[in-house]
Amino acid sequence: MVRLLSSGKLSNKAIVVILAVIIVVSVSSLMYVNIIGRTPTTTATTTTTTTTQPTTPGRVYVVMGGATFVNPQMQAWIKKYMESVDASAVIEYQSIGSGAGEAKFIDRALDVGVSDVGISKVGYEKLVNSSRKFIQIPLIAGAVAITYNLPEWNEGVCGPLRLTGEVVADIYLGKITYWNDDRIKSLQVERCRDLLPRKEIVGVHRSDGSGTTALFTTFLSKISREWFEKVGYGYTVDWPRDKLGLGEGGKGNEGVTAKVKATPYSIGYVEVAYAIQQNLPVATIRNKDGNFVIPNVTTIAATLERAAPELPPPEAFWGDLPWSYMYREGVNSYPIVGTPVAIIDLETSIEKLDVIKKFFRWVLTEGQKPENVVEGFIPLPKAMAEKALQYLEKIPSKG
Amino acid sequence: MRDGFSIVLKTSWNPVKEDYGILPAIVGTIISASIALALALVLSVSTSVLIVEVLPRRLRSLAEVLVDLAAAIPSVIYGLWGLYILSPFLKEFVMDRVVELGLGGIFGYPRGLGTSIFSASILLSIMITPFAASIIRVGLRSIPIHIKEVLASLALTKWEVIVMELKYIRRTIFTALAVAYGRAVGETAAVAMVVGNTLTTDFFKVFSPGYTISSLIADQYPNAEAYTYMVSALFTAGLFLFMLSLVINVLVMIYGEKR
Repeated sequence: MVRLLSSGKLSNKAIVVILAVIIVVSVSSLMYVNIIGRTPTTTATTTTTTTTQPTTPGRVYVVMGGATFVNPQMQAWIKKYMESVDASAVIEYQSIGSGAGEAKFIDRALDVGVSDVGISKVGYEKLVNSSRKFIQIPLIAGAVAITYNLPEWNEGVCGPLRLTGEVVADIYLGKITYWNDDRIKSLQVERCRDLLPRKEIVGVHRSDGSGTTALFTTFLSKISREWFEKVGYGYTVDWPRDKLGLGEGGKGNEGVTAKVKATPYSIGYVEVAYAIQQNLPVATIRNKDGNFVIPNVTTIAATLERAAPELPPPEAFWGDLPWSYMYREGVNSYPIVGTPVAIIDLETSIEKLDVIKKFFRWVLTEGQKPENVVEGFIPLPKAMAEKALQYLEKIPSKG
Repeated sequence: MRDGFSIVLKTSWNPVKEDYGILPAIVGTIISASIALALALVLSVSTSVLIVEVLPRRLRSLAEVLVDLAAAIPSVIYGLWGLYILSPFLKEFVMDRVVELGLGGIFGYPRGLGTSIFSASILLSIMITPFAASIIRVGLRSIPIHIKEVLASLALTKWEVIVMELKYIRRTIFTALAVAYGRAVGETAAVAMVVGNTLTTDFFKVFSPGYTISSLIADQYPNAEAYTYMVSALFTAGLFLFMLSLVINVLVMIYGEKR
């Protein structure tokens, strides 16, 4: 009994100590959260380029980072460039996600940040407010493919499934529930309309924040007023179909693919590079001219060629760029395309800028040739690459 | 802290409107870890008893090695196995059967691969059992010899002896389970693969895909900084995770094994 009591006292003391710890930790973290929420740029100046840099004399070390989607392409470019063009440069790409790439760029931890859809409004304002000098260029092209699992559908006879942006938006909004909905039926070729079963459509989407989702939802927002008002667009959105019990998230392109493959009567969206590599069934989407197009090199380039003249000036806000890519005119323009965007810091050392300029000049010329483009990625159309090359001239060089 | 405490009570996660609620993730974490714990209690106690008391001496060390090996498997491997083998299996043989009985309204409806809070719970119970079992095993071994002699002298059946022994080490069992619960609550890689990662309004239904705090953070953090408040929301979720672990640790200090 005595032992019990004394041990009881001990634990009382322990509880007091622990409660104190809880309070201190919560209060300090709340304050920290507050600081992040309110004055996000105050710490930016103190965390300047303190990344560990091997200071081998004569070698310039450039750190880039951001979007995970372009990672394989960036690694391929960097490898090729360092092997065969400039052996003295050391370039590194960190695949940390678009949002993190943007934040690290603002904190000056990265010399070049890469984002799937361009820097966000929040980030852009931070940069402008601190009067940072930077330029932006497109790197490569990509698109979002819509894939499906429809056991009854015979692609050999019927061709790929035909969809329109309005129908896809209404599927994900939960307004179209069954595959044999008249609005889906009427899009298909006559002889295949009755193949569509009365089964509920399962809408698969990315569960993690991703540029793919951003492009896909930008497309839906542009095409459907209701989607724009109810859902909007961004790396992650609140999916209406989930609320009906007819939607599901998958982590990464591979997660979405696994779920679509395992779920009969489902529909999902993935990066076109991934759809090609995995040989997934891909739906054709009706473009502005009324043609059903499949995403491939020709159709994606066709869209971007039309969008090239509208490429904003290098230091403008590029967050609306995906919006201008979507649902473009043109006989064979694929309607859901995007270009990852690199944002280059003009305030780093002149040696680094020299390497960066040469590297991106190579990326926009040699790098766009088929032998240097990783399978599934699509080179920029000439007009766009040339415009980006002009932007690069804004980078000061040694001479 | 634009939202104050209401972030904990909201069920929406809508970055477009900068509207964040972490209730589904908190509930998902607690439900999945609790179901896992209940199963792990049965599994780990029976494994330990089997190894220490039942198996012939020669097989014991082999069984011990196997259990310890199971504890050493990286969680991402468990996650892949859970995603491609365990979840579809559970969906076909457990969840679909239960739904056929008309209980879908209570438990929710599994989708696709069967990724759900339930699958995550089962996977977690398998993952944490080796941890709990190894602590309980040591507890069983360290029962003083005079206690064992007394038990032996009472002419009890083997079953009764085991029950008495387990009662004797109940604090150790509690500690073992608390350690296991701590791991279950914070597990990220494996759970993120099987929990379904979907924020729904019926987040308390175990067969529906759900979220846990750690999988929410893993999913959303890479792009969080493109939004104004998402980082703060995720930090709040992290704070809750930390407090959950802290509560468990306090309980261990009060009711756990005494040295």
